[in-house]
Amino acid sequence: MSRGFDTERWTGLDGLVLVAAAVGVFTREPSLLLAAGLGVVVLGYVRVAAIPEVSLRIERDLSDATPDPDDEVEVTLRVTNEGSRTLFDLRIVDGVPPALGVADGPARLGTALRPGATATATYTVTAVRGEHAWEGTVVVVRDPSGAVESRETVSTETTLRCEPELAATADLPLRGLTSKYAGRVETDVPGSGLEFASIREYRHGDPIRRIDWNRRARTGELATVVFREERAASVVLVVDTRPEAHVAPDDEAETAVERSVDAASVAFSALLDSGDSVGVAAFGPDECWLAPSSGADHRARARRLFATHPAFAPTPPDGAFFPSVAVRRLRRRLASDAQVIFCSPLVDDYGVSVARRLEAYGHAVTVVSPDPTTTSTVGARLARIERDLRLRELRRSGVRVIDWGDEPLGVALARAEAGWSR
Amino acid sequence: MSEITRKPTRTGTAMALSVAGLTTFTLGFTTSTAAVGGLVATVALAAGLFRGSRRIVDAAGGLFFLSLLFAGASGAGTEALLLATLGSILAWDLAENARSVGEHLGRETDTLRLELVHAAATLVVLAVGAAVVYGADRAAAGGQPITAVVLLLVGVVALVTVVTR
Repeated sequence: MSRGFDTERWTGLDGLVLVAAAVGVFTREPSLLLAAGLGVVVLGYVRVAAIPEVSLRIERDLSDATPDPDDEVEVTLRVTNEGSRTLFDLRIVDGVPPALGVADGPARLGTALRPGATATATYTVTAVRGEHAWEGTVVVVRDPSGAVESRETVSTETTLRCEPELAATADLPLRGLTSKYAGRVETDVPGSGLEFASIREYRHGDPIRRIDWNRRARTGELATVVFREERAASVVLVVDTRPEAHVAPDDEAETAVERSVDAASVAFSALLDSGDSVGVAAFGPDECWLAPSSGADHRARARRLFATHPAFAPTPPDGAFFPSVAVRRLRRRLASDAQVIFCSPLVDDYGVSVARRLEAYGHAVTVVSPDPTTTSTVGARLARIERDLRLRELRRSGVRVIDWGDEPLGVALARAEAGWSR
Repeated sequence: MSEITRKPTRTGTAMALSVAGLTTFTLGFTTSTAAVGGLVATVALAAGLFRGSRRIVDAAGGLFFLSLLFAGASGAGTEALLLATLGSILAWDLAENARSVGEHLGRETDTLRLELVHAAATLVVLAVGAAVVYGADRAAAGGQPITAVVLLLVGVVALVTVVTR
């Protein structure tokens, strides 16, 4: 460890000592000379100040390393002085992951530590979705007089992993674009299914169950009842994770990306339950792609992806991003019969153009848009109006839009569904 | 979510202001002007701690120094002046330390032990220093005053030069 730097705390004391001594001489007052003498003693004390070799062991314990979201996790930071000298002035600031908020108790410690002694700081953090690694602990050591200070960062690896269960709390209706497999989405293709579509003339080979026997009894003609065929869809959930999407109504609220990821994970689970094959993609600087599939393995993979993939981190990414390249890459990956559910706050025009382009290429697009706007200022109201206009533009071009305000996703879905045509 | 209050710690503020009050009380045994100076300095120290401003705390230290200088120049007793000097340095040191700890760790952190150790270290050094200086003065009291004073001055200058080299 270095000798540290001068805090310049006692700068100027030497001047004061000389002034006091000089005044003492001129006024022939020995008491002032004695006061100056005391000042000289302090100067000597400051002069010999040095920081001993610092050797600390820092341990961090979590009460639960894999909590559920919004759980309170107690963090215990233990600092042991392993050196041979007493540390008179030890100040420690723990490197709490930026996405985690400290709920209770400061993540800081200030104490004096004898050799072999241990000091403990306890604080609680509120878990949020994701994988969070603690950053280095900043250790500040000062000598007893405070004249010299040294700082260093000690890193102790601790990781908190919070993977929410994928819960299908809302059912997301899909559009008519489907794969060839049987499923839940009602199509306009006539065939076997549940919902009545039409009656047509009997053709040789029609199953006996679907012959309209009432009509046969009434008119003597054979006719076949046709139902709307139900098929499975292949859906890709695209989450807008661009830095522009990291917006929130205020400091405490969830960002639009957080809500988008929530919506995507709800939709993922619901769609998987209904037999559709579902994939996940991030539209942002961090690359993320999970091809559409189904099954328990796929669900587990997606759960981990939503929880820990850096693309879905609650803090904005800081890499370079080329949106047009990303759109092209996304298009290449999408199968021609894949629907897209695009989760984006739509706070800029690019999100709109992405949705429109995907729709134009034949992927039926549904936009789930968490609303991050407020009405607090004139500028905020303007942003809200602009966003409303973007939603309207999207609806006009045939894209289904779910405007998701403060209410639960299911409520927003029900409201949006009422306005949709099949 | 808990926020960090980057203000001087309560412990340090309380200790610094108590010592400043005692110093003002001690200055009361010298001259009334010095006592008023000490009072003003204490108020300034309180303001500096309230605002968390290093500059105001340093200014308060300067005011204490001026009061000491005035008290000394107008013939204060050796014991009272030495005690007031000790108190002034201690009050300023505690206040400045409270500010620095507050800035690093915030008010919410328990820093009692840290600040008590700091206060104890400074107090011990000052007390021992004052005892040595006072003892030297007593021992030299019988000698020639002018020569002693001049020699002491030379010694002070030499020490300051060496120490702040």
